[in-house]
Amino acid sequence: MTDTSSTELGMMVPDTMRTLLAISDNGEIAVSIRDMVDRSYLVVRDVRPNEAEEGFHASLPWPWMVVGTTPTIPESIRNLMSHNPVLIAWYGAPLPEGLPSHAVALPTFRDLIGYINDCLEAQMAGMHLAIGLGVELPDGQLARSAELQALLSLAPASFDIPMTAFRSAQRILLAHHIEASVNRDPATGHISLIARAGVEV
Amino acid sequence: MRANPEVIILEDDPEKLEDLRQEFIRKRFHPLTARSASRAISLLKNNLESSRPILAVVDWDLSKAPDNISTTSDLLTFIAHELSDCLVIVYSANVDSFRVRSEIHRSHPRAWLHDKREGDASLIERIDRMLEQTVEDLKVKDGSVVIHTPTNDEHHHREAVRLVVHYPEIVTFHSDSATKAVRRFGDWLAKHDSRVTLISHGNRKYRLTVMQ
Repeated sequence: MTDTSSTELGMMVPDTMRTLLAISDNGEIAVSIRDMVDRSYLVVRDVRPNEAEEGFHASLPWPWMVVGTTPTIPESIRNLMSHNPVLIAWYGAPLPEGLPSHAVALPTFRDLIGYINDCLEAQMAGMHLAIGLGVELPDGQLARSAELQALLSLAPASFDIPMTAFRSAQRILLAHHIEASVNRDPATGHISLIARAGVEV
Repeated sequence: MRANPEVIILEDDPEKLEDLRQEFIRKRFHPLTARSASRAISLLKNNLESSRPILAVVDWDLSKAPDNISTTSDLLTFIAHELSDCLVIVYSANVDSFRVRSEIHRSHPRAWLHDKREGDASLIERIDRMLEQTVEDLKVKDGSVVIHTPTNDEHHHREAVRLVVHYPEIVTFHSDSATKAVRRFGDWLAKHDSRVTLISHGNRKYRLTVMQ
């Protein structure tokens, strides 16, 4: 086998497809996840902790979800996850310190796969995730907004990141007259997508 | 204007390579063939301006290759970097091995795997399923022709096939002649009142969408 640095590996090629960034010491979790999800909906990037930041930046504009199995992670990737609407799931290890509060710890592989597939299958107010990337809107249009994609996937749970990260999502909801809105909880400051009253969710 | 799609085939066994080559010629592809990863990379590098395969069929295990200058992993990495819209299928007798799967997907995260032990016919069936996409009233036949199903009219151009097999993703085209072919395909769709239309995202990026 030739010695190929991580930067040269194909997994570091920038890609706009919905990405699950799997951070582990041996790659086993990425291989296992790939077998259990519909790969027309996402690509799984298999990275080691020291490659995580590069993998994050290669997932344009940011990964849809980060799945980790390590008890600690580099500060750089923790900061990136604290400032971008990224779903975070940890499996087989306690949540590393300093992750935003929307990160979830999942004790079993079955729980993890259930969580990923539930997020992929999320629906609200006629919206659902499109194949590849973005959100299919009730009027048949495709919204490529990673913010809206993240909000819809996590709903009804909320993101522990600033409202400013979700401006494009709010714009799309208004422009397409969608019966849902981006909501900031006044007590916690957390952000979620909610269906407006009278609309079937 | 006709332009047959290209396929790059890496297979170290000369007999099997010839069988695959004939199969793709029958499907009206233009096959580029190699028995070693280094030869496959050279073929692609030397023709990058004129030749952008829509499919790579890659044998992972190259024990009979005439040289071992490069590995299959090197080829997959090259394709991921330089031919990101090329569909990739990798076949191996060791596809159950965690190490092999991990290595393949770290080289090319979008590669599809196939078990060599299922035989050659199974590989061809799998490739057919990958390529024979249907989008509303459009269908790809044999991986090389787009058919408007209500009229049975055919559009023979590799860039049209590329767009349909990648639906609904955005595809970046790399030459003026390719973008001209894409726009001609858009006109052809409109002329046939297809429910599928061509959307331009600028910078030679296009995708197909279905009208509601």
